[in-house]
Amino acid sequence: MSIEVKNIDKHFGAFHVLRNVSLRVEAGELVALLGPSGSGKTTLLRVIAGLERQDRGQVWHHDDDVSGQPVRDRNVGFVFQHFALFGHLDVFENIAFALRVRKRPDAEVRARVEELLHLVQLGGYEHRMPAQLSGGQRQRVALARALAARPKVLLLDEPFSALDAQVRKDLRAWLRKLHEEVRTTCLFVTHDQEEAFELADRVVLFRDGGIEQVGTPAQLYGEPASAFVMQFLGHVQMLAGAVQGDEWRSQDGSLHLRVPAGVVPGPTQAALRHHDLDLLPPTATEGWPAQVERLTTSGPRRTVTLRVGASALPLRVELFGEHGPAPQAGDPVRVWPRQVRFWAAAQ
Amino acid sequence: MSRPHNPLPGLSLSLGVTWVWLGLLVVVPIAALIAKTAGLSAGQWFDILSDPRVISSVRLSLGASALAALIDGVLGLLLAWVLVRYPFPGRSLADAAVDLPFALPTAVAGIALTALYAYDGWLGRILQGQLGLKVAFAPAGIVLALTFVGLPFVVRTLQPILKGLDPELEQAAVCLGATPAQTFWRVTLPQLRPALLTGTTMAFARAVGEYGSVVFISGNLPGKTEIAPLLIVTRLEQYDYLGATAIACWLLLLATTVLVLVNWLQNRRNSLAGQHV
Amino acid sequence: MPTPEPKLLRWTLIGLALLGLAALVVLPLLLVLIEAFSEGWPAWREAVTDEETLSAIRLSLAVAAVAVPLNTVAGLAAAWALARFRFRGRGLLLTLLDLPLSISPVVSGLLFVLLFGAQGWLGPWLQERDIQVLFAFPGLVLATTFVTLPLVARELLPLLEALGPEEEIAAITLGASPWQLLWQVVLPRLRWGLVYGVILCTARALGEFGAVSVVSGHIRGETCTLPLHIEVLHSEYHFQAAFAAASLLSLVGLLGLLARRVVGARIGKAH
Repeated sequence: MSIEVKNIDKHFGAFHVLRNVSLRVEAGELVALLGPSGSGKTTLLRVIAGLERQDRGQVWHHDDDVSGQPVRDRNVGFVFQHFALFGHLDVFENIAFALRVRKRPDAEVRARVEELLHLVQLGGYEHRMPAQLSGGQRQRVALARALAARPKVLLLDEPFSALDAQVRKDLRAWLRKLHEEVRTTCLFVTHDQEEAFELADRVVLFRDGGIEQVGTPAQLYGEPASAFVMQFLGHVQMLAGAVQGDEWRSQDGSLHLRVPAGVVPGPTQAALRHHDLDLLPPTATEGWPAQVERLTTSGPRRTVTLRVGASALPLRVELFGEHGPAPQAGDPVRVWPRQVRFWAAAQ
Repeated sequence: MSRPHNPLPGLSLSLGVTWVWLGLLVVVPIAALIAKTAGLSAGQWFDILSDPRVISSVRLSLGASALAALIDGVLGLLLAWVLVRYPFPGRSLADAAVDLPFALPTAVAGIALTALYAYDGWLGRILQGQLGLKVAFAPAGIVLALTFVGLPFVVRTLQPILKGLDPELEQAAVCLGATPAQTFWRVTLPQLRPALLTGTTMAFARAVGEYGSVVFISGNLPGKTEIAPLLIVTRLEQYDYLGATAIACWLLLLATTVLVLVNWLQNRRNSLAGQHV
Repeated sequence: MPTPEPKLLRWTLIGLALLGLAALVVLPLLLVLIEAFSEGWPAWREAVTDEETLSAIRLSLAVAAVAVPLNTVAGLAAAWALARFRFRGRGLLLTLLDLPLSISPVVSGLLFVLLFGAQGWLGPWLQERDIQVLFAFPGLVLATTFVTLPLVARELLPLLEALGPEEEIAAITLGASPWQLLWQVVLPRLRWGLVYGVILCTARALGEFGAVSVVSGHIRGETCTLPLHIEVLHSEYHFQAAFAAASLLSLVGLLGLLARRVVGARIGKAH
């Protein structure tokens, strides 16, 4: 079942949460809605479920316009951030709820719940109460409950945010596998880019109520549509400066870069990814002279903090694997970006 | 302005039921009271309220309620303190007993207090016989009954605050050389003051209108031990609706004034304290 | 723990507090029970099975049987609307809901006298049609309903707010209809609060004195509820009988107190 939203607008009071958002998700896709908090991603998810009513625009489930339909007629599976398991019902009845309210025969309910318990690996837990489960188990009950009535689409609101780091990693891999098994169209909201990249077929990046970029993880990383996308994905540093002719100069004038054809002259930011910087010996003829300020090692990654240029701008360089003797604090070095992107500075 | 959409059902039905319920049972009767009051001329007001019997009953109601609230404040603070801070055998039973004035019907409390404090009662015998203090059928009995009904308000307001106090503040005071008494007066009590005031004003408000537990013990002598609610009932029994209504409104007005005044004093105190922080 | 006070001071404070509590609160209850049985079990039984006492008990139960369900259903509706929705007039509703608790019982009775009395708004109209409200069963019900009006709603409202709407919203996404939501999610989650609210409301309805006294007219065997009957017995110096009847009401009150403890612990455990 494909999901499409067209020109959705939504206000909360004076706050414009969704600005003319359009998005199409193909049947069977696993899509992440990514963005900083307050960027509108959760609201869009709730609009698709019918939990929020849009001010303008339409929601289509496959070929049906469900824009005006109440929640209970849309048959969506929704997994809540804090799971919202029914505290007065055991695991079995939680999962069975959607079938019970549809008055399905007992045998069918039993069979379906057994099947789901097996799917979420909670066989033997059917008579536990939610309060007796760990966070990860609750999460899986919530998933099974949402899947029980075979929803057309599964919507997950920050599904892992209430869990510990390790449980979160395990469940992530597990959810990916589950999705390959059940192949339900799946949208999930997250503010964690690592989570989005690891899980999703495509990622939708939100900013201030609008969609900044849609694409596969590789597309977002390799062809970021804006400085915001680059910055949100992280591991990058923006240097303020300006382009004149075919050259970019930092604000203090001490750093220079050659710009490719097509970059418009004017105030421009140079985006340097930490791992796209090369450290060179101080005797090298190319690169910017710099001084090592600090060096930290974390597993295979070494992070070198440098001061560069006339105004001693801080610059981070990440090195992976074996790199010979490490530079020491105070050492003079040279640094050179292998790859730079230029973004016209926002006015 | 559009508000957050709430997907839950049942607003119109539940709101409709609520308005009908409150409308018929609260709004209409209150409207009848207001209409009745609005029909009174200034002269009638003056005539009714200047009656010495009215004046003395209102004075008695407000005075006895204030005194009872004060006693509740002291006893309630003591009880809350002991119940929260000191473990002792029977503590949970004592804690449950605090709710008795809420649980016992006022008429039951009334006859029980009367029997207890009458000249031949268990405690009346001691108080009146040995100490010469007449409680039942005297103003002291009214204060006693009003203290009874107000006590849980103070204890139940103070307990959660007392439990939630940061022990480090008191420990800091002790480390700085304060004696236990100084710690109590300068550190603990100031933190409890707002809750203590809330509790005592609630006790006061309840006491002003109290009827059942008082009528048995008060003796009901016009001009001496007749409280205002009782006078209202008396006027109603004489079919003097206007008189009853006027006294009820007057009592309500005076009690509200006291409460507003106390609140205002408290807020001013808070805002003054706020300037020092 | 805060710094411990000297042992002597501590025990003095405990002693004073318990002395105050005993003299003011505990002894009256004990006295009721002791006086009720002062002439033995048969006398107690005779007192509470006396024809007038029985009819007072029946009347009190009948009044409660109307007032409590009314306030329960409406209170549930009010708690739902007030806890789950924001709408114009919400503040006004909350104030109106609290009003009966802050009004003197005598004034509560007065309200209905002004409405239904001979000189009241509806008095003449009712008189023409020979409908008796005041000094009759309907008046007792109205006054009692008014006095106990917020008790169930006041119990459910904070509970609903504390429980939050997430589970209910989840139920809707799973396809529950409004009535399924009510019966399968809302009521089961509220059950202990509801039980406590109903007990509290019933206890108050059975024990209400002031408001009922004003609208009753004290017609023996007809409009004398149990608390009013106690007053009558007491004023006629039938002390043992009065205390026997009072012991019944005390029992109801104690039951409410017990329920508060038990249910309070349950609610506390639920979240």
